[in-house]
Amino acid sequence: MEKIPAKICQCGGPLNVASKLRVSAYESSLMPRRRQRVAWRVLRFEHPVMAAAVASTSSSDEQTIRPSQSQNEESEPLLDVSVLKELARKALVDALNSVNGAKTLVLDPSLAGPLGLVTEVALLKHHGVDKMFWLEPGPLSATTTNVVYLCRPRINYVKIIADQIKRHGREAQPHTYTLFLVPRTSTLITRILEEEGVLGDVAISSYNLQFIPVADDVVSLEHDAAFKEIWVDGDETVIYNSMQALTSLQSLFGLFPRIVAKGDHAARLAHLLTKHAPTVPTDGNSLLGTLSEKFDSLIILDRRVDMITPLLTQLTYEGLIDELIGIKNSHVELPVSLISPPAIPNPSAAGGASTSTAPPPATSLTKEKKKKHHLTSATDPLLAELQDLNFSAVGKKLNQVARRLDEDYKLRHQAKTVAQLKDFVGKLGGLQSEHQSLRLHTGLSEMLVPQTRTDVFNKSLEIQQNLLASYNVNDQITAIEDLIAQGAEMQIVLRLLCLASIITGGIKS
Amino acid sequence: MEHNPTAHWEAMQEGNVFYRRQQVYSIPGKLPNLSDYIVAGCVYGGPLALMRDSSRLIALSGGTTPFAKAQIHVYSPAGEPILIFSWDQGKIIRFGWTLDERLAVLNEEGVYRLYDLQGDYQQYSLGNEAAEMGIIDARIHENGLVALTGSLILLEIKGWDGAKPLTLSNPGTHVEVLLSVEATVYSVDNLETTDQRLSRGPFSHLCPSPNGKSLALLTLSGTLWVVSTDFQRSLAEYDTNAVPGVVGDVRQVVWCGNDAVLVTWESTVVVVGPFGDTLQYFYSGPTFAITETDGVRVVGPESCDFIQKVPASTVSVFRPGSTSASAILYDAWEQFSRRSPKADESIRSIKPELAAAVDECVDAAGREWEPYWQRRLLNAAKFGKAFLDLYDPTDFVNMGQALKVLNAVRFFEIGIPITYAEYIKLSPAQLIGRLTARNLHLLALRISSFLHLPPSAVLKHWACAKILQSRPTSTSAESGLDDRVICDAIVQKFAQIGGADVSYAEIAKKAWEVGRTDLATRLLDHEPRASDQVPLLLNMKQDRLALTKAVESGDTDLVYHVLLHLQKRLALGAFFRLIEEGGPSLALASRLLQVYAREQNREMLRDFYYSDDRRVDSAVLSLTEAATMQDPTSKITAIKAAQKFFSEDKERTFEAKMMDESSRLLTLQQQLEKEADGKVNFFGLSVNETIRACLINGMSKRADKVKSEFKVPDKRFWYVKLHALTEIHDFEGLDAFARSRRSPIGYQAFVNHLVEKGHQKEAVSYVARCDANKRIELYVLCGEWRMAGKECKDRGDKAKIEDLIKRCPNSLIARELEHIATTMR
Repeated sequence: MEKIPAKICQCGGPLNVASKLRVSAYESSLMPRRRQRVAWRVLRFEHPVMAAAVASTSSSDEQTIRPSQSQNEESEPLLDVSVLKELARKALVDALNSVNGAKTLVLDPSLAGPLGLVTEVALLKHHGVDKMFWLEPGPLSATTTNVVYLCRPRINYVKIIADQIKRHGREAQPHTYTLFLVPRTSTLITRILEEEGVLGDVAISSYNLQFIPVADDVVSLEHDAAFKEIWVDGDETVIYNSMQALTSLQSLFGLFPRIVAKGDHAARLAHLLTKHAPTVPTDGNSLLGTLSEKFDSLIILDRRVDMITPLLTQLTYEGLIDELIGIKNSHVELPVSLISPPAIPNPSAAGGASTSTAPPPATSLTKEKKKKHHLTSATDPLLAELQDLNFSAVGKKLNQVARRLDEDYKLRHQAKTVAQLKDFVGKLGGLQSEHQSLRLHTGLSEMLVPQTRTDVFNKSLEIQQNLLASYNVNDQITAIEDLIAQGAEMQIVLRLLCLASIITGGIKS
Repeated sequence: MEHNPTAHWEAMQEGNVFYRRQQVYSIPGKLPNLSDYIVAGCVYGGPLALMRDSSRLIALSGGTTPFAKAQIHVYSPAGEPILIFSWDQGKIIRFGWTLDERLAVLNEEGVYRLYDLQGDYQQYSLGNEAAEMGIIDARIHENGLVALTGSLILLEIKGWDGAKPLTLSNPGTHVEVLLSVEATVYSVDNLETTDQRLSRGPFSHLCPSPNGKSLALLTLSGTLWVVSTDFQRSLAEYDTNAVPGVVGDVRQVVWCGNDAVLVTWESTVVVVGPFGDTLQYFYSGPTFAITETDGVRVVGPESCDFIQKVPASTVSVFRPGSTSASAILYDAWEQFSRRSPKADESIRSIKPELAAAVDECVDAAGREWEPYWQRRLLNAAKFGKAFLDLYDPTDFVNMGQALKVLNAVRFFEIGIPITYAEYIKLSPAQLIGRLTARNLHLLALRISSFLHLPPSAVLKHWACAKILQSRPTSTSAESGLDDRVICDAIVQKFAQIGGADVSYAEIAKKAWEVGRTDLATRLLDHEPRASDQVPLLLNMKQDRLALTKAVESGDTDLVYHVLLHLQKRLALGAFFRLIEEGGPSLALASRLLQVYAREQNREMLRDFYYSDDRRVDSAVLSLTEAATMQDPTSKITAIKAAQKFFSEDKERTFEAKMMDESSRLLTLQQQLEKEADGKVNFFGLSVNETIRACLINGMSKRADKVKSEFKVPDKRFWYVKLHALTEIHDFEGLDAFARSRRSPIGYQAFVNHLVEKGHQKEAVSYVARCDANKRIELYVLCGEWRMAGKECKDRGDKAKIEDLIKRCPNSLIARELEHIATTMR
């Protein structure tokens, strides 16, 4: 890991960002997972078009730098974005309840992640969902009369749906079909259903899933194909949807007093937002029409303004997890043993917490059965401390935490009176969850370390940094060719080639 | 001096309850003789519709005689004619009014029309079955109708927007139909038909009370019988034959409030109370009675009257001898206005109930028709509230405003005799709607601004009416001028009065419907909501404008809406031309069309690219298709096609060359598969993978050929071969390969790769060929500590050997290394 620290702080020192709400079309690998520390990266949202709403209350630098624990206790979040989650939940429940009786839910796989952030399977079951299937080509065996499709308005999905309905028709299986399109209904879809001859069989409605809070200062549309749709297909639906979602945001928190945009599509979004400036509704309940006191301005950035950043390897803890394991919709797939607490979580038997429950060696972990884990600093304070650290500093931090935890456990020996003992027992739950969190992150780090030691990983970092410094560009191209010769992964090679192409203004053959 | 309010009161139930008949309008000679007509009256002080009843027998029993061309007359309650229109359709079965004052007319063919007060109508049908069987009877109520077909099926229409007819006794309907059949009554409701097992029928009249709890029935023998609607309790009975001096049959049985029934004859009206007591009123000719919310309106030859039970608040204030607080307050105010000191004394005596008394006076004011009494009651209330420390004046102010509005609309020229209770029930907005329906826009606008209601509804109606009335003149040039003037007038008026939320699209639609396309286009230009604007533009065949507006809106769904619509309507060539000629401003539309076509209509996409000379796009499309093809030959053909497209563009020589290589590679791979007797899959592999597959399958000559043919760099070839030979454990071959010439990738790569794959022993032999300064560590990598030590000795590197001793895995090796170290100098 010797090479990592060299460039990590190139983007400028710490800046006050705690009061910024980040808004994005999709939180993904295109969006570097560094925030808090590196200011301009924070604003460099997501995809083609991303927006940052900056809250107006200016908290000082000292506040943001303060340890996160005390900060959490003291300052209320400037914007309560959890209300967005509630809205999304309620809309889903309303949609499900609009279909009477037990139903079979057929779900767009690309929605599973985003939906996972706002609801859980139990809620669906509670509202009449009997069985769930992925929306995939092939027959659908539904046991209930009601079949509910929930998907984004993509043509290939609709063709699958049409095929399944026709199949049921041939097999004389009577069903009633409801199609919920996310986030709104679509003429195109209606037309295709008509062309496929099943329009009459389907009731079409919409489920308006807009911004999802990913963290208490990040909201996202979680639309992962956004960049491709805009830049490859030229389909600007996402921009329109972003406009609608931002308008909803304004109806909750008031109008953005100022809108600033950089880049073509960002300008387009800004234009749409001003053009569709919400009119004052007659009921007077909504905040529409009044300038927000929570927002200072809205800054919209086109992803294309900076294509270099996403091509570089992220070197923070969370960034590396994303690079090497992959974070999707805030979830990461991890070996089961890392997530679930060990069979005998018995801290009383352990003098040293960190030794007794050390995770199994990393090699065996990679072969284990995997399970999705929600990476969120809301329930995992340790993650908040680690996520934006350079990976080289993570080991030290984990060590510190382990020691502190160990000492906290030892406090129990000092408990002399019943009151002290009671006090300790009160803390025990917290200690245990912290302990589990420590295990998780230690295990994760151990999974990452070997991958950061491979030749290809380090060679690619070296090339990146040389390219950024415009050092011996021709040599870097040769080095990339060597990587090709050695059979390095396609994605790594392509990323380097794109980077070289952008920095040198095109690669000469 | 006005008549005392009690002048028209008549007592019932031993003086506990009063009824009053008030003349609302005097209409001598304004209406024809009602007994010659079939009449339908609209509630909430609405108009009367009259149609000549040429033969009553035919009117009620459905017949064979074709009905002559008929006219329907509509009169206001003040007897002013509002509308006359002729009916040229099949025989009218029944007509009636909807809640929003439209006249629903149903004929025997199951067709019904809804006429507004300007004579414009919408036409709907009850369906084919109804048309075949014919309609023999129907009942029309405010929110729908129930029709009885010739096959004795009950059809229900819910709402007045052309809903599909439902067969009654379908679940989900909430209408209950009562049929008097022989001696009994059948109730047909949402689920079933129930025989109520009565024996007194048949009944000539059957009328439910306004609250739906009781039912008034009139037997053929003339007995009025009131029962609860579940037929469980008999509430009252009255023998109508006992009424003195009546002539002929009973004309109507209607309710007056919820506890009295009005029975009318040719010139007599009798109110029958709950305990069989009666009040009798006389008219000079036939009457028509309409049940209103809190009373009944009776239209006679001379006057339009309102009969109601005197409201509680009015009784409380005005009943002779009343000692209620409100009566005393009213008295106190009268004393006060006469400057009598008794006023103060009276007020003091009711101080605890004063607030309630004020409220009661305010309410009573609302129940009076004469402004004189309204004013007096409000004055009394005002007087009373001055003695209260805390009084919320909202009700007082609202009542004042409401009365001002009510008096304005009750004026005979307007002719809407609506009661206060009905005004509250109907809502001011609905009342304003009734005014605009009569084209009384100025009054409607004044009332809405007086009541602080948004003017948009009035403005919208006004604009539509203006368009309708200003039919274009004969020459087209003039009509163009007209259009501009009208459009400007409308826009100006909206800007002036603040009709910001009026939809221009709706007005434009009206203009278009009456054939004024140009005016419609002008109006549409002021519509800010593209989603409203675009569909109409499409209907008006303003294709380019529709597409441009859709693109400008940024709403991709709207763009699709236009594209798909146009694709259906236009010839393909014209469709493409429209998009291509739009240039950059329609680029979004063009791209969306491609997205759609790529998934759903490849053929159209090919044509589109071809017609626009888009070589690169054509090539990419060809390639995309090749990617999903299974059949090798067609895949190669598709790639060759792509190559051809690319070669036609000078900028794309690189791509053309790549296509060429790709198709050559695929052809070669086909050949290789043949040589390998189909045991190895080559087709579709990359060059590197092809070489590897050759090597693994012992076709090393072939691998060399691929290398030279596709100019694979030495370095890459060496890595591929190193990996391949290691994979099949051909270490002899690897050795021969390493010796064949000097390795372009050096030998360290050999050592590293072999070690990585777990062949440490085989790796050792290559260490000697690596750079001298790396050898020590490479030996360590291979686990050859002794050789590493020897290397140290050769190089005289004492420090390194000390380091090795520290790192080595066991003492045995450590001792050997120490031994070597001692031999060093």
